[in-house]
Amino acid sequence: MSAELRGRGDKAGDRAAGRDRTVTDGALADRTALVTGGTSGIGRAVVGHLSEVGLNVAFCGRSAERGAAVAAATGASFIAADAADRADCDRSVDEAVAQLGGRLDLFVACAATIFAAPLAETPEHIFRELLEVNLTATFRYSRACLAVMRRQRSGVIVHVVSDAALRGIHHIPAYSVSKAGVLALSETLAAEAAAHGVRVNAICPGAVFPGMQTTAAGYEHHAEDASTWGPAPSGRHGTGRDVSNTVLWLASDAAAHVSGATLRLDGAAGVATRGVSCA
Amino acid sequence: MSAATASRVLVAREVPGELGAHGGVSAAAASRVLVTGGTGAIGGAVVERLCRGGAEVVFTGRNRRRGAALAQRTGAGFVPSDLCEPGAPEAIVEGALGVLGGLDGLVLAAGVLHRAPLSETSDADWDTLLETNVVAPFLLARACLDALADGGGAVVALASGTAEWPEAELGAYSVSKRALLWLTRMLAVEGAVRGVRANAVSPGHTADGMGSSSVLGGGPIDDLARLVPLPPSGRYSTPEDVAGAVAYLLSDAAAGSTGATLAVDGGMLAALRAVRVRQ
Repeated sequence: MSAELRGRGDKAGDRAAGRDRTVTDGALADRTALVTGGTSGIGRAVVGHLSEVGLNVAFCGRSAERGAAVAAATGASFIAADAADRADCDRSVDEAVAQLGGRLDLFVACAATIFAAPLAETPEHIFRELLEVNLTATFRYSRACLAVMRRQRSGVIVHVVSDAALRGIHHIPAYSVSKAGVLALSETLAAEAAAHGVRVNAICPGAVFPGMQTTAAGYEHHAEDASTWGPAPSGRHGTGRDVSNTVLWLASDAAAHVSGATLRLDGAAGVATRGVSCA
Repeated sequence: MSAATASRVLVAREVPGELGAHGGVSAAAASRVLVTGGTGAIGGAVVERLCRGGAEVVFTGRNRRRGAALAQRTGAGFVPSDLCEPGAPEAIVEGALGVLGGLDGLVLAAGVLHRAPLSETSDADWDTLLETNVVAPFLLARACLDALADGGGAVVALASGTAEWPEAELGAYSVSKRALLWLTRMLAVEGAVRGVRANAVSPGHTADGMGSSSVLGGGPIDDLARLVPLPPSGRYSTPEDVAGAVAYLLSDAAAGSTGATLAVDGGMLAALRAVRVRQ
């Protein structure tokens, strides 16, 4: 919905409807976006928010059931794809671009999986799965989306990474390793894409609730639940809306010269965190 | 790690005159060390340096001819092997433990480099980089943890300046080295309560190193100064510079350091564009 259509006096109404006005309202209408991991957590919030402000959105996820529900609620197009499946990754980019009319203005990488165990107790196949889903799939999606954006000579890529890529988190070491790789990918891709009119940035959220509950099948007890953690110094947990607001700003022309940036998004938790004993 | 543990395990095996002539760091060196990638320029220098300091060394490498020559020259044990073969990391550790009767140090010097931007990185190159530079180090370190914990041992990983400051022309390599750096940090956190230290050495452009070879593309070494800017120090690092840093981090002199990254790059990372080109 554009700011013009709503007028200037709708702030209270927006709050009542759970909408917060952003600097970009209306500015992104009719642009196209692909979001991975769109069926739950942060990705779900991003799909909802982008659709709300008028983008034409396609999103990927593993669960057909959740995908259908998100599509019905947001009007976005669901493409069933498992980030652990390389053929799925490649096919879903082609499908998304076709569905979006041959143009891709924004790619948001949200798909990820987590595993909470020391490295000594992390099985090889789990370590590989974390690298595959969190890092390799992000690389493959980004590579494919960059190819489309290079042809357009414009586009924005946003990687939703993690504060674990800024400072490793001791109880999710393999996840931290994979996310550090994603942050380096984001920086490197930004350098490469800049000459082609494409911007690439990373968002590093801290504890987000509701956030990731995706872990390796059979290892549900290794999932994270941010609701059990204390709030950030800001007094609360992050929300998917915090992330989607940042995505919208990065996608907008207001951020036209922002590329290769890393935005810590954690209510000051990162600057306050001290080293901990793991004994 | 208690002082008693350190003094029991980190036995100085100094060859009089030798260590003093090579930088004058503490003579105490981890006594039984496994070095991967010993047939490369930096790995080979590490093997030589440790053997000169009196350590018992077992090293791996793919090049049998160079491995045999290095073994003959230094007295170190050579295990010809490719880390990417299934089961190889675990078999290497088991073999090294059999020869050395325990382990005080693990040096992760094996690595591969691929010179290409991310857009032009093939699936096969991406996989090889992650397998060699990230997955194999994880498997090796995990297999060594118990043995290292027995005596307060140390891990040193050869990262790269690109881990912190990615280079677009070394896209996937930069990503893999950031992940390796994070792996080292997570090992440091996890190993700390067991008396195991883990640190990284980040070489910059090193004469005879992989990066230099990839730039030269078979051309003469004299071309390097024309192709790669010199660091502020006015010279490229040598494999011996890097080996000295590795020996220091393995030694008792570095007992207080874990999770650290030691750059050996002539000041390259110290400032943006901190380079000068030879006239």
